[in-house]
Amino acid sequence: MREYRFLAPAQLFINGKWLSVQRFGQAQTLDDAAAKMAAKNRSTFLSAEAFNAIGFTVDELRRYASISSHGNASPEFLDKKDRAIEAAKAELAALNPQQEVTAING
Amino acid sequence: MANYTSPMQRRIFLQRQPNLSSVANTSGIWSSTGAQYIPVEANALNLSPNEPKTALNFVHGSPASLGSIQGRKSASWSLNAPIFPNGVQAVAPDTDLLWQSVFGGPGFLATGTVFGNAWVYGHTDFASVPLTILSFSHGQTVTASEYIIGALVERCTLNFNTDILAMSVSGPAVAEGDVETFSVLDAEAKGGLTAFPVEPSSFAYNGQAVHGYGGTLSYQVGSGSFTPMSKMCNGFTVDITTGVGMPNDAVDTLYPYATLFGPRAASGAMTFLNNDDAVLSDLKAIARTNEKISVQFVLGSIPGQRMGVVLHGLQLVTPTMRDNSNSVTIDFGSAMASVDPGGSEDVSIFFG
Repeated sequence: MREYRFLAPAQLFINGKWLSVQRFGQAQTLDDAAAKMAAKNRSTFLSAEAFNAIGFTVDELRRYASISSHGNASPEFLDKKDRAIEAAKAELAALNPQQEVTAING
Repeated sequence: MANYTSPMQRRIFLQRQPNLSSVANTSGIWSSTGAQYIPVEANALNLSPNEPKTALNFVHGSPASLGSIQGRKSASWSLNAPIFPNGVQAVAPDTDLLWQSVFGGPGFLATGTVFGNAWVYGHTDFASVPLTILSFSHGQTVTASEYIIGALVERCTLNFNTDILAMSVSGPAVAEGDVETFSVLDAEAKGGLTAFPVEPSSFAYNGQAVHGYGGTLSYQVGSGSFTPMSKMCNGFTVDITTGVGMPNDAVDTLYPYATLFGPRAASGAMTFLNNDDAVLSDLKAIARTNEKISVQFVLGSIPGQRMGVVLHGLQLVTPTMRDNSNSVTIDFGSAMASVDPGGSEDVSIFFG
């Protein structure tokens, strides 16, 4: 089991239970099989350690919890978000080497 | 006492097939690898077997009808699926397989679009992406679950300006089967399976529902800049007819057996509240003079939540006016997109 942070909304159905990810940076603990499944299904997430290393502030995660708020987010937050997506890209590639879809920065 | 099934139990999965007639499987057991769950409303999916009887109209000394024999078999389907952008820029949406079947191949990563980087779908000529569509009745293992194999998209309609952005797709398929009668299906209708598929125990879907409005509709003459049509268009529909079909006339099978490629078409229909704005006046003149334009609709403003469509070589139909109680509608009807000789890019869809 490992803690991950999600970068976009997702709904996961894992072993008979729904897990709902609605908030940017929402923590979710997944086992290896579930993480691989989510990676194959194009969910975008990264390890909690890598996410924390980027340095999102508590205020940013509260203010920009909804992805709908990102249109008016601060440049500092959007830069961190881009770096988080880049980090996620590398981790997801390791989880799912055959992934045909790759997240990249805008 | 019987347990009655509910449409609320349904879970819908899409999966790409290795070829028109085979479902992904390992030694006859369905392989769920690559199966994508998509959230839809209860009545959004229709899987229809087409198994007509052939009447035996022999005279037999009585006016009563004789029994029939089984005719050729096939199937058809339709689906109204919400379009959830992935949530992360330039990543394919969960409706990816439907778009692949519309366009005949996978999308690709493009830079320099109106969104910057985007996941783009454009036509792959003379290619098809056959799908398996599975409808499981969750918690019910003996009835109501069904599938359709060899599903191709023949038509895709995008009705923008709706409360929830969605795509309506439909087309032919090789065969339909269900859990209750799987054991008596013809081999072709089993698609290589030896058992009815089991609902996946783990899956995911991404993003969230978005409006079909809140975008910028604009047009381009020649290679000029795009001119927005601001606050006047109240109806915009894109219709793509893929031209794919399946022959069902082989001497050795009751079922469709190949993909055929006929003419393809894309069109855009726009309605406006009539006014004296120079933009609308220009569009009316363009329709009269049969000038070709590109029309672009860019929906949403948040990276990862955006979708766009571009129709190229659009030739507007001279509009008709229609009186309403307090306004006049200008209806441009359905305008065909077009290409220069040898071209393929009449329509493209992008997510960014």
